[in-house]
Amino acid sequence: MSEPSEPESDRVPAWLHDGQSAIRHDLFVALSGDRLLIDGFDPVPLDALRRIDGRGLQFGRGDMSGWRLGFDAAPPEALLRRLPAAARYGGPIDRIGLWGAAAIALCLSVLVILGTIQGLDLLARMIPYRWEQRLGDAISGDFGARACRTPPGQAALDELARRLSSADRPVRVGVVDIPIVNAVALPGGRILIFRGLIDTARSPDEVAGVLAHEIGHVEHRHVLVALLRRFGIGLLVGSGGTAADYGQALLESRYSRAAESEADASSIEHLVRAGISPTPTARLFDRLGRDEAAMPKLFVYMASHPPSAERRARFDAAAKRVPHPRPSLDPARWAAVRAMCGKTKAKDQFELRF
Amino acid sequence: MADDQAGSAFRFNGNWREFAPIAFTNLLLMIVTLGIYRFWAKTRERRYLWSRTDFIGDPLEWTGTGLELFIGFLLVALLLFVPIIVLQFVVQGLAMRGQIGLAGLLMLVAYAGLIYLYGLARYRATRYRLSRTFWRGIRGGSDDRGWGYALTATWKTAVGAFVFGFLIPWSMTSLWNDRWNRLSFGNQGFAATADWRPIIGRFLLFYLLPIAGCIGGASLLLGSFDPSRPPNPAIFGAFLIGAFAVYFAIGIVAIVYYAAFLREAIGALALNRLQFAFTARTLDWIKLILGHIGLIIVTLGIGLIFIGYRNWSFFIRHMEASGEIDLAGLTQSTTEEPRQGEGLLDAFDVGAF
Ligand SMILES: [Zn+2]
Repeated sequence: MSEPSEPESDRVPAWLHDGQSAIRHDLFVALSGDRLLIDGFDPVPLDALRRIDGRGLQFGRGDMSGWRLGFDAAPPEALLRRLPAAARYGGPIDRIGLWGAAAIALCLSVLVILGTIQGLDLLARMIPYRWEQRLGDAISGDFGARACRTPPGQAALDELARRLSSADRPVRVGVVDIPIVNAVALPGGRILIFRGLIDTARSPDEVAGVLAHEIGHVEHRHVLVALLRRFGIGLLVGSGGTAADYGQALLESRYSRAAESEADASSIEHLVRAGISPTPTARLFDRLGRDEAAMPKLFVYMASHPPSAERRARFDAAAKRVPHPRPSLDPARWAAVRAMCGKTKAKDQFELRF
Repeated sequence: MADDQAGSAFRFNGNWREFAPIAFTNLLLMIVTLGIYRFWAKTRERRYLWSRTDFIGDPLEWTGTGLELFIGFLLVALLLFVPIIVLQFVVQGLAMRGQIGLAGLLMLVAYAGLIYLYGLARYRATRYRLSRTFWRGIRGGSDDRGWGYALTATWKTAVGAFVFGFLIPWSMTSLWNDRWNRLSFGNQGFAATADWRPIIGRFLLFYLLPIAGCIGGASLLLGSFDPSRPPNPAIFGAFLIGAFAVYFAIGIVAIVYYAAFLREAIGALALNRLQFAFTARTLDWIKLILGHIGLIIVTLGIGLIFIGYRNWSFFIRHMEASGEIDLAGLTQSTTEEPRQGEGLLDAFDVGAF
């Protein structure tokens, strides 16, 4: 089959599957230079062999699927030394050692998570605002069938939103007929005020404070950042199991508290600049805070919003920066806003946080 | 332990002390790599389990790699999860605009698509595993990529669900045949002729459950109802136990049926003149599951890393084969080797069997 070479070592008994049929060949092998001589078959270069992590001592070849050479009894040391060693964990882990590799992987994992969070925040701020607006249009359309639209009320809200926002981040405000005391910012500068908030508010300034808070979310692009984070971290640790899920929930909750606090700061700035008193907003928090007092402490910590008492104090402290407050809406306009969802007052109110 | 496998062509000779170092280091590496190591962990586990499984005196060998499983996962993440997330946004947007009909239609189409992909995933995973399983240097596989099978699986699953699911045993056995008749080992094709008739009887037990439940619930109500006395907390407890009993009964019937299904399906599988058989009865399955539960409780959850080992050893210890095999005639498979692993099935999170 091939020109006979002079074997350097003793002939050693072995078995061979040639990868062509299921027949087992019992034969002898011997070393010759950097090749292995195999009775009845072509010699094989030693560096083409790789150790198989199977039962007993087995070797395969990268270039021939199913080719296996094995030894039932351990071959002499002279031959064994020349054959490739076994891989245990695969790849670089065998070179570094298990504990070293585990430590390095742990550090890398922490870096990757921190890096992803920073990177996603950066990415969210790089996405053009117009794209985000289009995404917002796709998600919420024209606020659906529950939207409350009356021209005078809408005009009053638009006017208020203009006073409270900056020119480079235009927002669009809508009212929906849902009886919860809340407002939300959607991607693309869309803000939904729920009817329950307007019904509960004792003055237009309270609505203005909440609206300014949501405008703060829009300016800091919190919605897009939160969307990207949820998606990105979910992809990253999605395969990690339950421990990772808890971690993710905690991370998002902490992030959310920071964002709320940032939105509150913006809200105060906008109110001050527009000459609207932050005191009514503080009173709104006070009323909400009474419900919160019934909540166990653990929930207050885990909840996505800073405790109401803390927020109330911040808005109260800002009151002295507006020595001569003007009302956010005159009585006629405020009446128009209150009439947007019709006369019937929503029943069964339940509250959420904005 | 060796005795119960004495007459069988299949033999599992691993032991958990040998497996434990693999399982624990796998767990450690998965934790520190945010779970990404799990593809390599699965490969390491399979290499061990296959190498300790003998068929007629020679061990199986697993040649799959962690990298190909990882690539399969990435592909599915890109091609399946991203479209699903986009679809969610679109459906949400349509619903917000009051286009409920269109949103519902889109959901229906997406649901049919998922059934199709599930069929494809099951076939592809079995094909991948066969293509990476070697015995005496010979591997299995198929040139059929399963697009047609997945279409068959979609309509047979839909038909099986008609008339209160009466046709489910038919759809399960006939899809089993459709899958295995496309697969081969070496140069020889599998032949599967599973029949739904022997197992339909056990499947009908599912329909007895609601009847038994109604009778039990009604007698409980009638026996304890007394308007002159305030409600008794014991009755509430009895209802709780009743609800638990319903879940328990559904689980038992599912095991009774599945045990029969697998015996019929594997018993009707042949490779040339080799006939396979599976001997696990309902009681064996119950023992296996109770063992899983006990192990997980006693080890406070760490026992989970041994579940794969226990399942495989259960499977092989109950596999048998009879007939003959012509070693010279069993030559290497010429089928195309799939390039990546079972990412799609992973996404549905189920086993191939
Ligand atoms: Zn907020």
